Amino acid sequence: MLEEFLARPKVQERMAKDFVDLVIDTDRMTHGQEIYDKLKAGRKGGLPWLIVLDGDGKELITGVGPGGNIGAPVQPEECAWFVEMLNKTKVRLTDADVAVIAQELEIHAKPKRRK
Amino acid sequence: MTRSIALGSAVLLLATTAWAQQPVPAVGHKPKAELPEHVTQALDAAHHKNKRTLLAFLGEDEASTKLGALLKKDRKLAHELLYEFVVVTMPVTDAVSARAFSIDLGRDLPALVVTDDEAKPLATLRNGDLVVDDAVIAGAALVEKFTPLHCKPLDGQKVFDAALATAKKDGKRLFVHFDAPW
Repeated sequence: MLEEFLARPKVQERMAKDFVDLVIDTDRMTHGQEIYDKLKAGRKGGLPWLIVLDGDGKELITGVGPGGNIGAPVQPEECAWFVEMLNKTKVRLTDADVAVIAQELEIHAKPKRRK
Repeated sequence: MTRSIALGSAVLLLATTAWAQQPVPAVGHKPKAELPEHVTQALDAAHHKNKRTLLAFLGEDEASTKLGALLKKDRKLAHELLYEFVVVTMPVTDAVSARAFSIDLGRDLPALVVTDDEAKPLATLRNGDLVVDDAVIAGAALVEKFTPLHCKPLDGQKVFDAALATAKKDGKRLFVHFDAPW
């Protein structure tokens, strides 16, 4: 679900300014679970789980917001934390870029929300 | 939105006559670019996810109905499809695609074609392979046929290291999402 969102043209184009996007399938990739365990470092929460690293592998932020793990963000508070993740780690992305990504996320997530 | 395990939601499909363990002669095989958009999108998704593409030509005949039901109800088969395949249900009106994969819509339905991400058929299963003595093949037998066709698993550590090196070189962040097929 998150992959579908990140593949939206307006999102992909902007995310690429600051981020190398990587999906690790913990079930199908060899060593996938090991990498997950290492970066998760015993913290609670399940899959999907997001983390942003700098080029040296240092953790900058995770997908665990004030309300817990946002997973593939759908609920308003989850989407808000996703945008916060971008704002806290962006280098080249402008505020306008982030606004477009946020708008696309809303379009993507809204139909999936609980009634 | 996080998930709990939900294996039963896989899309299922399948069909009829001649399973070839070796690649089928590419009679009428079209280049990927000449296939319908929904097929090329599936092929791209399969490439991205390191999976095979399963094209299901299902008709309205009894065998197709039984096979469709099997695919929906057989837990192991659903798991197999969810993990290893991008499944595409082909309209039985799509004679062009049927020809491209050497499927005779008047004789072969239901039929299943497994392809690589360039639409090259790796195996084809037609009516006679799937229905024996009026009984649809068992789900376990289908899984047994599919297993040798799996993509080779990617090494997550190598993929991770390469992505991190790219991020470092380009002065970018590495945005990692951990996930699983379920």
